[in-house]
This record gives sequence, structure tokens and C-alpha cells, in this order.
Amino acid sequence: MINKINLYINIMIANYIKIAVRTIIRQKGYSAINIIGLAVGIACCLLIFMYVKDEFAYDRFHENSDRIYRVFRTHEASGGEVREVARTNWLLSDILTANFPEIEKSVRIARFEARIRYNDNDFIETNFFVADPAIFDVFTIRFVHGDPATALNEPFSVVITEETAQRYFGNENPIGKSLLYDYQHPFIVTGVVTGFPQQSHFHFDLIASMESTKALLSPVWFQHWGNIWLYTYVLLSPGTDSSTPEQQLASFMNEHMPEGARTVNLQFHLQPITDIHLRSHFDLELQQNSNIAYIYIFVIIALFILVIACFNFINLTTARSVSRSKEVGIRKTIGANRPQLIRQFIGESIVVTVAALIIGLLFIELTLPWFNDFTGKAMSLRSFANGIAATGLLGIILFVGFGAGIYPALFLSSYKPVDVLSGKSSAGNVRNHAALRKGIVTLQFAISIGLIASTIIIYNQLTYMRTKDLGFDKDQILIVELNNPEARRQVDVLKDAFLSDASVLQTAAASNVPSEQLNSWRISPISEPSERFELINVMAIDYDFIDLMGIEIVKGRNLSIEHARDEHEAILFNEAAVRHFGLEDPIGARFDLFQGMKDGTAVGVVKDFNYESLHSQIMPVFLHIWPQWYSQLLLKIRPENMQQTVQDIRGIWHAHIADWPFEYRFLDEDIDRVYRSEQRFGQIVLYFSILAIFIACLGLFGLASYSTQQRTKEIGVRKVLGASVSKIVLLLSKEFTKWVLVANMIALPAAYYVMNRWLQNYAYRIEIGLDVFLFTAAIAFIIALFTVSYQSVRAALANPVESLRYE
Amino acid sequence: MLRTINLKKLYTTEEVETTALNNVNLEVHEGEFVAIMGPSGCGKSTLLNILGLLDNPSGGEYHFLNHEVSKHTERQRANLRKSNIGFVFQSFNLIDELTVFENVELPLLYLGYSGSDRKQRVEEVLEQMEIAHRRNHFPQQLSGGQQQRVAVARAIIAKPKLILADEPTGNLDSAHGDEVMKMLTELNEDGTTIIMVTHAQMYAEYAHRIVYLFDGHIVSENILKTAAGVAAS
Repeated sequence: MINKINLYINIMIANYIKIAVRTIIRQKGYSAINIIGLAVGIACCLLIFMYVKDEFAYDRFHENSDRIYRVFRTHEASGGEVREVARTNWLLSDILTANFPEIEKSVRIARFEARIRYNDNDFIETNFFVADPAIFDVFTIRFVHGDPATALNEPFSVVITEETAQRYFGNENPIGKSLLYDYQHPFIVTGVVTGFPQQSHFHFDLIASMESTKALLSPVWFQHWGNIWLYTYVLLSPGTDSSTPEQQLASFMNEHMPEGARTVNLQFHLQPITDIHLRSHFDLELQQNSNIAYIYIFVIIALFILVIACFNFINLTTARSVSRSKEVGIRKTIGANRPQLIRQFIGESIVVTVAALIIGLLFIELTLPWFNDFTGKAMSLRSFANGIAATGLLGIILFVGFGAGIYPALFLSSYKPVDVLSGKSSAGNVRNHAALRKGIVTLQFAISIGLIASTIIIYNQLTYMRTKDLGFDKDQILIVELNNPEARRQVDVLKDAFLSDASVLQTAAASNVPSEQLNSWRISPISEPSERFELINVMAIDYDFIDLMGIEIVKGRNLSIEHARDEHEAILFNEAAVRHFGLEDPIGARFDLFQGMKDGTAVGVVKDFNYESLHSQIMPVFLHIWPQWYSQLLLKIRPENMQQTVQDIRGIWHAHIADWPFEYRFLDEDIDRVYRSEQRFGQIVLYFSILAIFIACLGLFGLASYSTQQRTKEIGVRKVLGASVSKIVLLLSKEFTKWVLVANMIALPAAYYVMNRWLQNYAYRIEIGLDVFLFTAAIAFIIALFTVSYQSVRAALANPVESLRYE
Repeated sequence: MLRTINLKKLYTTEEVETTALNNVNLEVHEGEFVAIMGPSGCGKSTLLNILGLLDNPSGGEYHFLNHEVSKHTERQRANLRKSNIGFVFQSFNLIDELTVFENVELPLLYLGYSGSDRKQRVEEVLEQMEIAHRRNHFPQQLSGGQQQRVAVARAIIAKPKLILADEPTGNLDSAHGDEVMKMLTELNEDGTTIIMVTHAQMYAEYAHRIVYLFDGHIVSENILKTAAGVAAS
């Protein structure tokens, strides 16, 4: 009996699939709209899902990822602003392991930019790390050669990744080979390891022993609490709640912290390593992190797109129901009951979903290389080749198949044979559902309009950031790294030499350029000696910097070589600093810089310029002459023939600096890099919005063609009675216009609310004007009209006899 | 076989109430061939739908195979319908997505026949209707006459006791019309009861009896003395 039932069910399913496939083939136009819409929807959704999954996978490859924490510090900067800083000082790590039993291991790491020479080949290594031996206990790093227990115990030992080994030694055994660091310190390779996967918040090519730094750095690096150059990670004992050591650390620090640290309210906190990639935006991060807010937005967009695609399916299927009504009538007449028909229609919807999924996967396969390139990821469809993912795909098929199929199935199967077969088409029935269809199209358009408006606002903000007057001129500025002591000694010689090239207009030296993190010093006004020091940003510049950067002096004068004392005591500061110290007459104000290291007298006030990103307000900054700190030369060059200019400058460099490589970058690129993740985010939102609109238009197109078809007779009669083509087009388009209007009214306030909140992330932001919404509404109308007009114009131009004969 | 007592059918829209059938009393015996005639809008199709258990009457009684079915639910009617009644329509009403074979097979699927039984039975009927050579064609590839033969094949596949034909010749030329009438007559001779709605007097005369309907009433009944009629009585 059960076998018989099974057999029967199998037969029916085979029959449903057969019908479904043939229906799809016969109704090519509708099927294409349905399947392509759904395929694009599914592809977007899966692509975003893969992206999100990849983002959440960061730093989870460590075996102990749930017990690894990074220690970060907070302190109060000028104006009571609390700054969160990813870096910590040298002493912290030893205190942690000595005093807190919950902390099983602690490791310090730091990144250097290293010049490495091997066999007369020079390499610039930007991912050269130094680390305590405990790095192999805390992080999961796989050794190919060497012993993790001893590899980093000795000074001047270094562990390298396989790629690095290949780069230096080819197929030779790297163990025991010597790499020359900064052309003077030989490091012995003691291990070869596998590098971190892409989903890590930092990546190393070489790790040298922390002991080596004792010989490389001055003692001050190992003493002062304010000297932050390391990242400290801890491994907690199993079962430890991270808040326990955090609290203990707070009270410990209260007792043992030096006075200077106390005045800026220095505190330490623990952060799970798995939070870093998505939730950490501190100063001095190891690499630019992503943002959890983006993830939420992408997930919302993915769901929107899938909903739009499912709505299309529901809409087109119910709209087309008249053409299926005859079949329903026949089937019922000859014995089908309603559950059987419901199963049949759901079966069809599942077949369509499967087809859409296959095409969707094909879309992903085709676009994935581009998407990977664009997002800097290495995702692959192969990640779907496992049980969980297969179950997930099956889930999508069932979810979309049922979700999109259930309503049309209930609707179609409700037809009475006596209505549909007697030629009375179930017009009443269809009309009832017209309201629902209009609702759905309106909602689809509302989502699309919301996405258009949001995209425009995001783009406006990005454009604003790119083009905003930063208070200085960032174009045509070439930055040359003073990457060695010799170059730093010869700053003036190099400047003159570069200036001798006709393409170089101006030169200047500085410790930092805008977009870089500045150093901060403890600064207090001498006029009112204060117990409380404050950390204020400081830049070391030379006499030419202000001119070259085009920074405006609003009061007083620029630093000048004419004034003999400027070199030792003149300072410039910005308007924010004037406001911060409440100076009525800033010129001549005197300050203690760095606890008596230097006294300074203000000679001028510069207009506020955005030396940090536009996310934050401009903070006070002091600028002064301090040649020891110059780390780069700025060259203002002519815009013509930039490549040749760079070649010439390189030649000049090598004429003066024999051994060291010429390293350069452009200031505008540096600044753009700060906004790269925003740019990428904006682009992703743009692309997915376009796809959402595309799917919604497919639906609108299908619906318009159906609606026009329904009114064929009306159009014929009107034309016979003398209506012009334009009148007919207007008649047919009017209805859709109404829906788009309603959609606008739903979407635009929602978009305003959401985007306004997003803009709060930026200290410098655009105002959302009415123009954005008018523009969006106009675009929506144009797209809708364009989509609908193809059908209406065709119908309006048709010979009326054709349409009347149709009846 | 079936009997109606004071059968009524009203159609109500928002503003208008139309009486489609008014006190129709009709009895049809097993093995009979009855034609129903009348002008457009007289209620012929409405009557046929009720007799075919596709619709419920608004009043009166309808006895079908000893069941009083006027208050039956759609599910109950469907169960009676699928094994006892076959339908032939003016516009053939074949499913365009299915082949000839699959169209004819469909009622057996809903009755739960096994694959081999279905195949055998469909082949038989296709042979009987002389359409077997077209078994893998789709309806649009056939002429009207061929389509109606497929429809008849589908109507008889489940060996129903009653065939209801709604203007089966309405969309056919006279040669094909004659052919269909010949098939119906043969089926009737084999014992199937047939009720047919038609406009055409010449086709009505194939029946034993013609019922004239006008404005929802039966206005007259003619017993015909055709060869078939004599044979039946």
C-alpha cells in the first residue's frame, strides 16, 4: 500500500516537473523575466552571504581564537576627548604575565619597515615584525622548518614565511642563512612557517626575535609608558571571563601607574581578537579594518533583493493566472482536487527556483573573480561543496520556492472550473488581486527608490570628502622617504639637489604628512603652570612646509629663516589650539613642550587644516622646527610628465645616497587610501542597488505587458472611437505613475532617516538636501515610464482590428 | 441515472439577479442519448454544469446515481465526478503543455492508476479514436477534428457512465462534426449515457430525445425516431 502511494506520488511529481518545464519553455518571455529576476536575486544574496561569512571568519583560524585578546589603551587627549589606541608600551606585557594568573601568555609584536639585503639583492619589507617567542603559543602558526620553542629565543634570529623563503632563497634551504637588516645587522633564519590566511587582521612576511630590538632601539623605547610602539596580545586561561583581568588591571594600574600616565587617565582594556576586523577602529591599527555597519547594510540589501525577486515571481504568476485558469478548470473537471493543484504549482515554483539557482551560481562563478579583485578577498564557489552549504542551498530552494510559490498556488487552485471553462474569464477574481499586485509593485519600487536615494547620498558624501577643501593642497606632492640616517643628515643638500630639477617647484621636510597619525606631546602653557599635562598633536616641519602645502596663516607670521631664534623656539599652531587654550592673543604665547624638553613661543596661527581623516574634528596641533624628526621630504612637482620627473628624482637620490633605495609615494593617494573602504562600500551599494532596480524593472515590465494585454479590447474600442496614440500611451502609463508616486512617499522619508544616521559617522558631512530626493523621484519616474512605455506604445500603435478580433 | 426536481439556478452580481434555470425537471435513464437545445442564454450550459457536478444549484433537488447531490461540497462532487462523468467541450479544452498521450492519460493519473495500466488503457482508447499515430503531438499541432477526438478519448478513458458534451461540434466543419457525432453514437450504443448541448438541429437528431430550453424552462421534449432511438427503446 505504502509502495503504491509512493509510486503514485512519484508519478505525480514527475508529471508536475514535466508540466513545469514545458510551461517554462512555452511562456519564454515570462519565464525569462521570472527566472532571470530570481537568478540575479539569488546570486546577489549568495554573493553577499559569502562576503559576510568571509568577514566573520577573520582571526578564527587560531586554535585558541576565543581566548586571545588584544590589549588596547585609552587616554584623554586635549578637550577631554578619549582616544583609543591599539598600541601599547614595552613594560605592560611583563606586568601582565607577572601579576595576573588568568593571563596564561602574553606576546608583544611590532611592525617595522625593513630594508633587507641578501646576496646583493635589496628588498623593502613592509611586513617585517618583531615578536616575543610566545607568539607561537598565542597565535596558531604552522612550522615547516625549525622549532617554535627556540626559533625566536636569540637576538637576531628571524622566522620567515614560505613565500618569503621562496622570494629570497628559491629552492635552497633557508635555515641558517643570514639576512642583512638595514645594511648592518645580520639576522639568521631559524624557521620557515606558513603565513596567515587572508582572514587575519595583520599579515607578516618575517618575524624577528624581540630580543633584537634591544640592540636596534634606544633605551627610552623600553622605559616610558607613553612610548607606544607595540601591540600586546594575551592568551587567557580556559574559562576566564575577560572582564576579570580587565578590572584587576584597572586597580593595579591605579596603584602602580606613573604620575604622567595618571594625568591623561591612561587605562588598558581587553578586546577579543575576533572583534578586531569588524569592530575595531582605534588609532594605530595594524591594517585598515572593516566595519560591522557595512555588514548589516549588505545583509539588508541582500534580503531586499531577494524579496524583490520573490515579489516578481508572485506578481507575474498571479498576473498570468488567466492563461493558466483553463488548465486549472480542465484538471478540476477531470478529477484533480485542490491539494493536488497546490502541490503542482508549488512544484513549478520550485522548478523555477532550481533553474534560477543554477543560473545564479553561474552568474556568481562569472563575476566572482571580479568581485574578489574588488573586495580583496579570495572567495570561491568551492566553499559550497560541503554538507552544510548544500543544505543551505536546498534551504534556499525550498524557502524561495515555497515563499514565492504558495500565494500563486493558493490563488490559481481556487478557480472554479465552471467559471473558467464557460468562457467567462474570472475577471472578477483577477481584479481582486490587482490591488495586491499594485501593492507589491509599489513596495518593490519603494525598496528600489530607497536604495537609489541612499546610493546618491553615499556618493555625495564620498565626493564631498574627496573634493572638500582640506585646508592644504594635496595635488602634485611627491613624498620621498628619508629612510636612512645618511639621508636625514643631508636634508638640506637633498632639498637643493631636487630643486635643481626643473620639474620640482618646491621642497620641504616634515615628520609627518596629513593622513598619517601624528605624535602627541605633553604640552602646557607656561603662563599658567598646570599640574595637568595634556597630549597635543605635534608635527615637525621646516621653513618651507607651510608654503609648499598652501596652508593659510591667519594671524602672525610663518616660520622664517630670517628670524634666528625660530629654529629653536618658534611654534605655529592651528585655530583649534587657540580655541583649546582659550588664548585671546595667541601671538607670543609661551608653552612648555614635553616637560621642559623645549620651550616654545607662538609666532603664528594657521587656519585649521584636516591633517586627520574627515571622520574626526580637527584637533589642536603644534608645528615647529625639529630636524631630528624629519622623516620625509615633500616635493611639489609639475603635473606634466610625472613619470619622467620621478625618474629624474630617483637619479638625484642615488647620486647622493649610494646604498639606500628610493622610496616615494603621492600625497593624494595616501589621503585617498584613508577612504578606500568607504569607496568600496559605496561601490558595492551602487552595484547591488542597480541590480535591485533591474529586478524591479523586470517585474514592472512583465506586469505592464500583462496589464496592457488585459486592456487590448479597451484600447481597440478607444481607437475606433478616435483616441490618438499619445492619449492611449498616457492612459496606460498613468496608472503606473501613481504607484511610483506612492513608492516615493514611502521610500524617501525612510532613506532620509537611515542615511542621516549613517552620516553621523563623519565629523564633516553633507546636508541631505531636497535635491537628492527630487532627483531620485525623477529617476524612478523615468525608469518606470521607460519600462512601461515599451508596452503601451506598442499597444497604442497596433491596428484596432487586431485588438478587437482578440476577443 | 439522474433526475432533477424543480432545479433552480440564480446568478447574483452586485445589482442584478438573473435566473438561469427555473424549476427544471428532467430525468435521464441509463443508456439514453439526450440533446439539449435552445437559443443563446437559455441556460443550456448552466444546466449541463450542474448535471456534470461542476456547480451546485441554487434550489431544488438533483439525484445522481441515487445520491442527492445538490448540497454536496466541491470535494464530494469531485469524487463522484472523476470516476463517473466524462466531459467534451466545444473548445476541446486540452492542456497545451501536454502531448496527446498525456492529455488522455491525465484522468487516470488523478484516479491513481499504475503506469502500466495507464499506458495500456490510453493506447486502447487512442486506437479506438483512431488518433494513436498522433500520440506524441501537442494539441496545437492537430486539426480541430483531431483535437476533439483527443478530447473524446480523454472523456471516455476512465469508462464513465455519463458523458456530457457541450456543443462538441461547435468549432468543427460539418465533415469533422459528423465524425464526432458518429463516435458519440457508437459510445452510446456501447451503453454510455450521453447528454449533449447543441445549437444544430441536424446533430440533435442523433439523440433519442431533444429537450428544448427557453429562458431557464424546459419548454418541450421530443422523442425522435432515429435508428438509434428505436434501438434504445
